[in-house]
Amino acid sequence: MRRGGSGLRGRSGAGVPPRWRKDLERVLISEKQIARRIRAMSRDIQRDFAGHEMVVVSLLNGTVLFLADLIRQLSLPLRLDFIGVSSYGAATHAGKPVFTKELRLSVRGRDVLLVDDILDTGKTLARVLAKLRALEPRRIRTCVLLNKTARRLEKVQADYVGFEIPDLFVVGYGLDFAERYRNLPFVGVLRSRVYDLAGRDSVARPVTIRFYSFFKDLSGCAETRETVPEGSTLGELLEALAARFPKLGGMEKSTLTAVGLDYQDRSYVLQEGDEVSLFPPVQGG
Amino acid sequence: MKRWLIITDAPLDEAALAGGRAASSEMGAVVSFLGLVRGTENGAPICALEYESFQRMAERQLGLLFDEMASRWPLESVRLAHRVGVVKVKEPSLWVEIVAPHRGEAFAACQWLIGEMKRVVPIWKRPVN
Repeated sequence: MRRGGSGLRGRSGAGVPPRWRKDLERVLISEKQIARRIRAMSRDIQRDFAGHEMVVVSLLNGTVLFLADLIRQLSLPLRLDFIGVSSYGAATHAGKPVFTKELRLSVRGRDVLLVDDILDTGKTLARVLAKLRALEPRRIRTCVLLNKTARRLEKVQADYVGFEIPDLFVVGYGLDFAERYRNLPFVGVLRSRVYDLAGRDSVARPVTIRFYSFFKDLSGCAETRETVPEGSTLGELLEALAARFPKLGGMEKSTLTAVGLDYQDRSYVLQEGDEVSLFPPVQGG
Repeated sequence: MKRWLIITDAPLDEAALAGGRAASSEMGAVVSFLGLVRGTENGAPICALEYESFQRMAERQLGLLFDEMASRWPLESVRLAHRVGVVKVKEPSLWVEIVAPHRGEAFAACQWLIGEMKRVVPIWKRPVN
């Protein structure tokens, strides 16, 4: 029951506010077009979900604006939860999706509407759908603002699509490049020199590392700092630390890794100011 | 599901902890567990264990385990106390209490919680001779 997205006729050409002309080539989808399309999508959703309390599961962080506008149009009882998932490094290539926030609400036997900003390679949605299906909801429908089929790697389709878009680097209305541009009220096309430049000009990111238990003895300190290139993973940080603290390097396989208060695996992309904790297997009780 | 949690360097007072129990009239099972420090570690005699925790993360991870318990079993409450710092042989280091309608879920939840705790909650120990 796939509902086709609205085609994009013509080019908005101008219309980029002066503040953004340096970074954006053009407006792809205007504020007005988005609002109109969301009203139509919400009517479809409302019809399909009538009679049941739905659980809206939205993927962080790109859906913030879309989600806010969409659920405002839904006059159905619903509960809202988020899954944090990060699939892009600082570069533009899609890596393996990493979960940064888990679902808190129970979806067993429920009608779930999964909301994402863009369906691109399909890796994120495929992984999230597999995770959700394991929780045995009554049904899951997927809703995306943008559908970009050109780079699709997984066999995934969305049930509700806002707009079909060509293979362009789009930002705005929640979509980012290196966490920027999310606040634009429209969807714009990023100038290629912006992302080309960022790829070369890697910015150093300082992170704090804390050691626990006998890892403090192996490193000789409780805390240290390390500066890593933008887009570095936790795995790459461990390699850098192993060079500084060889005894710690010997423990690589049994090292548990956390960022903040949550476990993260080696593919986690480090953010500036992250507090990384390294420790041996736990032994409470 | 009600939940209560403390990670403390004060001795665990079993009687005081048990005295704080609240169970509604629908509840037919209370399972509580007390973990004691043994006098040997890997075959060698010790006089105490020193526990260290990454407290904020331990609280967060236990909270996630409690969330999962609430979704798996119809429990009324879970309470857990873990001691940190130096704990002498024979003294308690861990206390857990589960209140549930029936014994099946109470035993299962208690066993599961302690197993998961030993896997994900950042608390470590080292022997004191």
